[in-house]
Amino acid sequence: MTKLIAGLVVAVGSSWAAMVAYPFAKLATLQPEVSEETGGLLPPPLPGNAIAGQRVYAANGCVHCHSQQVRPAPFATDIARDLGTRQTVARDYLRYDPAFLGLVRTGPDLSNVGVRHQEAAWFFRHLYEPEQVTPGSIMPSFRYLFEEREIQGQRSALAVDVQGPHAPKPGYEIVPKQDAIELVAYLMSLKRDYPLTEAPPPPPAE
Amino acid sequence: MIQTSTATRPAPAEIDRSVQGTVLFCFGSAIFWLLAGCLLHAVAGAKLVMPGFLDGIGFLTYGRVLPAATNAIAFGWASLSAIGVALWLCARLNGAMLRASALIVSAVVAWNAAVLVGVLAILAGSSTGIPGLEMPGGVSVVLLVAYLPIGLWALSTFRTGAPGFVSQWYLVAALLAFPWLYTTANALLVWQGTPGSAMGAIFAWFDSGFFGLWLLPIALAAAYYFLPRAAGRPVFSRGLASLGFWTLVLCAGWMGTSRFQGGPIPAWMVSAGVVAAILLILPAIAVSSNLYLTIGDACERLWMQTPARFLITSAVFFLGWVSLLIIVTLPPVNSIIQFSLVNPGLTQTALHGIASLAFIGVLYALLGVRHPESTITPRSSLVFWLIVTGVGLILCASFFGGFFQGFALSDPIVTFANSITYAAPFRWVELAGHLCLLAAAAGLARDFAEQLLVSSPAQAPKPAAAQRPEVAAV
Ligand code: HEC
Repeated sequence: MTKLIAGLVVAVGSSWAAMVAYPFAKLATLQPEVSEETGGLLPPPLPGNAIAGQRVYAANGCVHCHSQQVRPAPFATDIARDLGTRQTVARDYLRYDPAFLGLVRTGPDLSNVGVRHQEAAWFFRHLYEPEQVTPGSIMPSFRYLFEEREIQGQRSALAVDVQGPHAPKPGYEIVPKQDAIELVAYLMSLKRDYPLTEAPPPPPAE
Repeated sequence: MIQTSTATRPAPAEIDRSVQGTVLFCFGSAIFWLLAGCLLHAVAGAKLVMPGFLDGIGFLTYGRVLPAATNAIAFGWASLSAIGVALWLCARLNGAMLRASALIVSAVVAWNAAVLVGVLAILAGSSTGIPGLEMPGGVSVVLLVAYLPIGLWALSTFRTGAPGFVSQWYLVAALLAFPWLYTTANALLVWQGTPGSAMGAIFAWFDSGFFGLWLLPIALAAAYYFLPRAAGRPVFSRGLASLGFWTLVLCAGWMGTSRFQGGPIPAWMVSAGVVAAILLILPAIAVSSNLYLTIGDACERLWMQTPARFLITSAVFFLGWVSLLIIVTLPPVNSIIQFSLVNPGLTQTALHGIASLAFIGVLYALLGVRHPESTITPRSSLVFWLIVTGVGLILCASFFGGFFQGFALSDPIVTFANSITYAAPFRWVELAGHLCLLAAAAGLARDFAEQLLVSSPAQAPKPAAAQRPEVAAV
C-alpha cells in the first residue's frame, strides 16, 4: 500500500510539477516589456471596461466557439490566413485573467479581432444579430445584452443600427447594456500587433 | 492469496446489503444527471445546425447550454456513478461493511445539490469561462467537502486488505487523484485566478487528469473486477496489468498539454504532452490484451451477460479512443484538426464509450445481485445499442466532419464560411448521436426504476452472484 501510494505521488506529482507548478511560477509572473520606440509598456495595460468585459465573455461561453491563439508558421497556416501578423506568445496574455485560449474554432480566432474591426458600432451590430452582419452566420444572437428603449430627445450615440425582425418599434432604439459595452471594450482590446522580443514583427513584405 | 483473513470477513451478501442502498442512490441521482446532461447537449447541438432554435435567450444561449451539459455529465453523471462504483468495489474487494451510510448518503445529497446549483449558475450567467471548470467557486468547495467522507471511507477500507487485486490499484489511484486534481485546479483557476497563458497548462493538466486519473481508472477497476469473475479465471498476467497501470497514471497527467501545439506555452511542455499522449498506447494495449487473454474463449458466453457486455465494449472503446487520439495528436495532423470538431468528438467518445458503458455495466451487475439472472434483457440490450450507436455517430461525424472543417480552416484560400458549410451535415449526424444518448439515458432510467420497484431489498431473492465462490483476481 505504501509503495503504491509512493508510486502514485511520484507519477502524478511529476506531471503536477511540470504542468502546474512550473507554469504557475514562470508564466504567471511574466512582466511587460518597455517599448524601445514609445517607452510605453508592451503589452499595453487594459482599460477598466475591457477587464470587466472578461466576465461577460466568460458568462456567455464565447470561448466554446472562439480560440485566441495564433500558431506559428510553418506549423500552421494561421498567419497566412491573416489571423495575426505573428504568433502569439505567453507574454501576450499577461494582462488577461483568465486567458481565453480556446480549443475550438466554430467561429474565427479572436486574438486580433480588435485589429480587424476598429469600430464599437460594428461589434454592437454583430453581437445584436450576427446574421445581419455576416449572412449565414451560426453565431448566436446576444440580443439579451441590449435593451429597447424609447428615444428621449436625441438618438443615443450607442444606438445600434438594426433592420429586419428585431428592429426597434418606431420611436424606440436599441442600446447596449453595460455588459455589452464591457464585452465590446474587451473585444477591441484583443490586438497582438505590437512587437515583443520573443515575437518580433514579420519582416516587411518586398 | 493476500486475503488470508477471509474467514473473519463478512459474507459478500452481507457486504452488498450494507452498501446497496447508498450505491443505488448514487446511481439513481447520476442517471438524473445523465438525462439532464444529454438533453442539454442535444439542445446545444441543435443550436449549431439551427441557429434560430431558442435563440436570443440568455440562459439558453449556446455558450451556456453547452458547459451546463458537460458539467452535468462530468460532475453529475460520471462522477456520481464513479463514486457508486468505487464504494461498491472497495467494500467487496476489502471485505468492508459500510456502516456510516447515513453520512455517505448526506454527502451524496450535498454533492447533488452542489451540481444543481452549479449547472443553474452556468445557465444564469455565472460561468467562470474555464472549460471543464465552469461551475462557480462555492460549488467546488461543496463538492470537495462532500467528497471528503466518501473518499476517506473508501480509502479506509484498504486498511484491512493489502492491494493485491489489480482493481484495487486503480481504485486507490482514482480516489487520491480526484481531490488532488480538483483542489489544484480550483485553487489556481477558480477560487483565485492565474493570469496569462499558465491557465492553459494548468487547465490541460486538470482536464486530461479528470478523465485519465479519475473516471478511467474506475472504469478499468470495474473491468478488472467483473470480467475475470464472469469468465471464472484469474487475470491473465499480473506483469501486464502492472505495466498498464503505471503507464496510465504517468501518461494521464502529462498528456494534457498536447492540445496546445503551436500555442503560447513553452515548447517543451507541448512536446512532453505529445510524447505522453503517444505513450498512452502502452496502457491501452496492456489493458485490452490482458482482459482479452483473461476472457479467452468465454467471450461469447460473456457477451450474453449484461455487465460483461458493457465492460468488454468499454475496453474496446479504450483501445479505439487511444489509437485515434494518437493519430490526431501527431503534429502534422494536429495542425489541421486542432480546433475542429475532432477533439470534442473524442472527448465524448471517451466519456460515454469508455466511462458511461463501464459504469452502466456495474449498475446492471448491482441490479443483477438483486435479480440473479444477469443475462442480457431486451431493455439492457437496447440501452447498450443506443449508447454504442450514439457514440459511433458522434465519433464518425466529428472525425470526418472535423477533417473537412480542419482543411477549410487551414487552407489559406478557403474562406472561413466554408468551414461552417463543410461541417454542417456532420453536425446533424452528431446531433443524431446525442439524441441516441438521450434515448439511452431515458431507457436506463426506466429500467432502473422498474427493477427497483419490482422487488424491494427485503424481498430480493438470495443474491446468486454473491454465492458463487470468490475467484481471486490475482
Ligand atoms: C455557436 C458558436 C459561437 C458562439 C457561442 C459565439 N460565436 Fe462569435 N462567431 C461565431 C461564428 C460562426 C462567427 C463567424 C460568422 C460571423 O461573423 O458571424 C463568429 C464571429 C464572431 C466575431 C467576428 C470575427 C471576425 O473576425 O469578423 C466576433 C467579434 C465574435 N464572433 C464575438 C463573439 C463573442 C463576444 C461571443 C460571446 C458573447 C461569441 N462570439 C460567441 C460563432 C460563435
